[in-house]
Amino acid sequence: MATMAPAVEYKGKVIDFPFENPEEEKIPDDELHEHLAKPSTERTKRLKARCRWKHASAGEFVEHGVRAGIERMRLVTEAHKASRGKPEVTRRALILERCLNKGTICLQTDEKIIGYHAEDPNYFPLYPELSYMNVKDYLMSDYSPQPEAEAEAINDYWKPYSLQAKCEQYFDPIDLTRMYQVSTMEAPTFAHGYNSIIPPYETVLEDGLLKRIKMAEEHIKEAKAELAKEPWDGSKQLSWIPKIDNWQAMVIADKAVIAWARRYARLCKIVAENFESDPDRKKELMEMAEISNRVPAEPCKGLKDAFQAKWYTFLVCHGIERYASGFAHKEDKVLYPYYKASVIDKTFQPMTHADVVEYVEMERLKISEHGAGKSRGYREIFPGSNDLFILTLGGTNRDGSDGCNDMTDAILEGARNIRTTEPSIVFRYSKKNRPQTLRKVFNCVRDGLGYPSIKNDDVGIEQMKYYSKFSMNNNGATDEEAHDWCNVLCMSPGLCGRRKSQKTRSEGGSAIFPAKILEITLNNGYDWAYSDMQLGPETGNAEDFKTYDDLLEAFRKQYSYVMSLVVRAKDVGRHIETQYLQIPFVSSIDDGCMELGEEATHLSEQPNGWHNPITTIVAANSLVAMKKLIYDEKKYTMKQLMDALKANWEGHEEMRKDFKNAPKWGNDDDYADTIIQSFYEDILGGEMAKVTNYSGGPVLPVGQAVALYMEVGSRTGPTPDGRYGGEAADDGGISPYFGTDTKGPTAVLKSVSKVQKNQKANLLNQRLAVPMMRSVHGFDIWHAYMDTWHDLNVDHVQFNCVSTDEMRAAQREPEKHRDLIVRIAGFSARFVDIPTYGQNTIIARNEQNFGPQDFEFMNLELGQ
Amino acid sequence: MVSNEQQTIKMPLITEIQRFCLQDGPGIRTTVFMKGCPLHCPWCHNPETQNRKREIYYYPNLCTGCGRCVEVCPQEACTLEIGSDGTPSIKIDRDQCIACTSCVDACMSGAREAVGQMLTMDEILRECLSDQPFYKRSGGGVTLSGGDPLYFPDFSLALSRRLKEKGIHVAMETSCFPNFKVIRPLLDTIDLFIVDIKSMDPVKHRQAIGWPLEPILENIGLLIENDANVRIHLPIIPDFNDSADDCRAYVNFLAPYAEMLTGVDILPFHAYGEGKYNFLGRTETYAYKGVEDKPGEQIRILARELSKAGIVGINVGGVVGMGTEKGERPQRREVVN
Repeated sequence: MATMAPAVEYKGKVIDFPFENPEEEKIPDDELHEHLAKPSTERTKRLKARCRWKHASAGEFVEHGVRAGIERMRLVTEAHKASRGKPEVTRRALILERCLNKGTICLQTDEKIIGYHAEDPNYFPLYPELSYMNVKDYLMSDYSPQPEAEAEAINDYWKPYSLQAKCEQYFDPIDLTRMYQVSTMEAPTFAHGYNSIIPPYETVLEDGLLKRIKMAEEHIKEAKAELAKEPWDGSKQLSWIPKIDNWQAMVIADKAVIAWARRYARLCKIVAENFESDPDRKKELMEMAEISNRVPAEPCKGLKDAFQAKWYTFLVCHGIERYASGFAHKEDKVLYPYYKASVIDKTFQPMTHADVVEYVEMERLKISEHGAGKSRGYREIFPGSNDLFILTLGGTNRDGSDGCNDMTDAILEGARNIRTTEPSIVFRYSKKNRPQTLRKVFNCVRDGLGYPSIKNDDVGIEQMKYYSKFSMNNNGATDEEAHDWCNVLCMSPGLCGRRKSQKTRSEGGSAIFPAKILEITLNNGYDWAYSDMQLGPETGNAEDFKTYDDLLEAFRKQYSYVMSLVVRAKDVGRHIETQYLQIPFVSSIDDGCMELGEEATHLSEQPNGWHNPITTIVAANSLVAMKKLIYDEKKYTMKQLMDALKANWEGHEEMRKDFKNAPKWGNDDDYADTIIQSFYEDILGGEMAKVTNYSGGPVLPVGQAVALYMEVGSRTGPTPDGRYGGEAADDGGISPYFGTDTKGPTAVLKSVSKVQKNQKANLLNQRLAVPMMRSVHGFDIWHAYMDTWHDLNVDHVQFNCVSTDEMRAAQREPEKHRDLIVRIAGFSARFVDIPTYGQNTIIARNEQNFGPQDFEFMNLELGQ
Repeated sequence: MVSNEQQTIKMPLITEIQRFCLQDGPGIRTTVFMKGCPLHCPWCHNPETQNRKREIYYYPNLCTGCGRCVEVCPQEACTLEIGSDGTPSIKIDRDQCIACTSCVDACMSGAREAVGQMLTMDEILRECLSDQPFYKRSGGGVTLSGGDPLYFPDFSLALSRRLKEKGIHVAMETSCFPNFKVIRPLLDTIDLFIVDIKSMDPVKHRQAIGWPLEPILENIGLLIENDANVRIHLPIIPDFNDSADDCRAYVNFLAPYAEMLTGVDILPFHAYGEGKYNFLGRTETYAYKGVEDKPGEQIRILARELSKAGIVGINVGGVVGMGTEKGERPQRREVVN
């Protein structure tokens, strides 16, 4: 129990013994986080209490009543049938139009930001046009859309049209079977069909959709004139036809979105005029009606406009036109002009800073309620969350000045108050960032939210410039635009703004599993531990590798095979998308697509290719152990090792001890680090960079984890790092394996900083000791640590700042610890919603002790 | 390769070189723990650093009772015992144990660990220099600790000299037990002396700790007289030095130095060391089993009284905070009102 000392009088002055955070008095350590949650208003308290969370645990939805709705499937199918014969892009616009015109809309008590993408806020839509397997998955579950027979029929109708079916024909059945094992690689992106994009919110907020419609109509007019020009030149003029189709689809889509927002406006007005008895709420509803009537049709004038227009745009881009994961935008930059208008200048929708914080809290709850409709397999790898929603803050502006503003602070304050796992926040750390905002970043970290996850601003900027060089239309990011980046998903930066942002998942996302690839490398490409089949080319048996280089070369071949296959799958998917899965609304709000009459899935101005190696450290530590004990010291033969691995080390305990005690990553150990650096830079990065994707740029590794390290760990047999078969793999990107970093956080940073070449991003998990973070000196120490992290040019770091005591307490009494949030990999999750297996891996991460854990709560300076 | 330096210097065993320490002086520090101390404070929370010789930790919770250690022990010091609930464990006759580490090599489950490594000066130095970028940003550096680094004055001098050459801030945690002529050469290389005072009662001091109090107090005076930076550590031990009289004695002794001290850290008792006594097979010798490790009212009174006496930079437990510019001596007074 932390008890504050009584004040004393000293030299005529009263001196208190304050805690850094006064709320922390009298809170037992194992309940700390339960007491930190404090929504800033009564409204957000109520909204949080009744939030319809869509979290899943071990693949099951946690809240009762959550299920798939049938409405979108039905409307999509009706529109698809009714639009036969029309150009495909037009059909896509008409499908969107029908969803928006006919879809049920709902208004919930207390909410000020309105809009949902399914017929019931407990439901989420399904996307039969993307993946028949995914719908089938729901049909077989307790969350099946009702009536089931109708859903079944719809899925059967779509099977030949679905992205998955269209892509599969271009792959050898053997390759397909290998991909669907999710053993050496994640299943191909066309199997689930979801997208990953950064919507250009700026155009919606700044221009309004009416202006976008006008732009498209003018382009159509010009195009038609060009088409009619004499003398006819078929080799040139025919190219106007697909452009006209695209612009026309944009017009249909934008008009539908305006009409849909106005349906919400009418709903608010009807409720206000006929049903609402509370005069205050009545006034609010009338204001909401007025806002939805005006935006997103017209440009936003105040902050309430901006939050609402942004929300409508999010729903269409991520949940209605197509399913796309993410919540990618540079939110402080997008909203600041409207913050300025409403809070500082008070020219429109005058508000206080506190009002803005409440809006942030409300928006976070909307995201928490947003259902994604991922398949069971994907729900399992995102335990404790509903999907990957990540927004970005901080960094620098185009002119290099500090990107932090009062909106940044409001977002961080709101996030800290409301304590939801989503959306997660990425903070771009720059030496230019103002201390008051860094302090708020620190406050979130010390409260154990797991976010902001910190990215190195300069690394991101340089990366945007690098990819820009490969632009196919020579119109990639300029040096100024390179400052406009946000994370697309958990880890990988992408350009954001009015143009050139990522619009398809063919650029990035999806994973490759080096630990499993190493395992099959030792077995001539055969997977004996899980799938019992040949998973890669025959590259020889382990006993044949006379030198370490032979071993590495065999690994390289296995890895290259998988890399080319997975990127081919992504690009074939993209090819099909450009033909059948156009996203005309997204096209309409991108300045590039608008100018060029191009489809968003088709146009690529700024390449952003990446793929995620997950379980790298298990593979890397294994290579170190083999090099040391088999090739350098020759203490064991490869034959002995293979016998031990096949026996899961049973009967080979002494040998396992040696392999387990071989140098490990994260200890600033030159022997291990030299091998591992080369593994990252020359093999994982070097080989991947040889692959060129749709956009003409290299594909680079983004080392991360989601929760695939648990899934893939269970599919990976015993490994030469001393790990038993089935044990979890390393939990993220470039983070040391659980408990093997024995020299503390500085040594981890030193190791990590050695890997620089051929990387796009690398996730680093650190656990920080709560007592240190709660000390009055906590911020200064953290700041010094972060500045050194920046000096070392490390790409990323994120913190779990939750004591082992509290996690153990939450395992004992989950109902008392609903608000305990931890960092999994690229996202935060409610601890109690994570399966025990996953919980234990988080507890097992070494708590980075900033000095002996001497004294937990008092750290007082007198006389200050 | 053994350098000339090492041939002539008595090298201590090192129990740990801990990076990212925040409680052993200003900023982010690396602390070198030497094994060996002439004092024997009964509450010591690093009992593994008392004895100069190597020792063996035994972690019963990791032991599978396989009996490999019993087989390999040349002294026949290990016996396998089966508890009443059928759980096997190993009993070690510590008097017979010569710390040869055969059992450490034989153990498959990591239940044994050798405490105290013989490292070369270069190895120690390399580890100390590894975190230089962090020292720079936080005003941190290296802290020599133990045990007591003054038990190995030649080594401490050589190491601190090497560190000074690299511009690193060097602190020393010590009880200041020896004759001042041993300390004097270190005045040039140690930027901050962090000196423990365990009691102001000479009789109690000699009896409980096994060393006279007088030279310690005299050395503190001499350090200050010689313009050294001194920070005082006051470990507050229940029923040993936490009475009102003890409090008065501390204040009376420190008050005259108020202007000259860098700061005073009041270190409330904690029982984190208890596990180590168990691992060393010294459970019986630990007198503070189950003693409440929470701050008492006395600590607040002491902090208040020290403050009244004009002492600044008073810190209770925990993290020390940031240091000053790289490599330079910290201000004598960290906080000036």
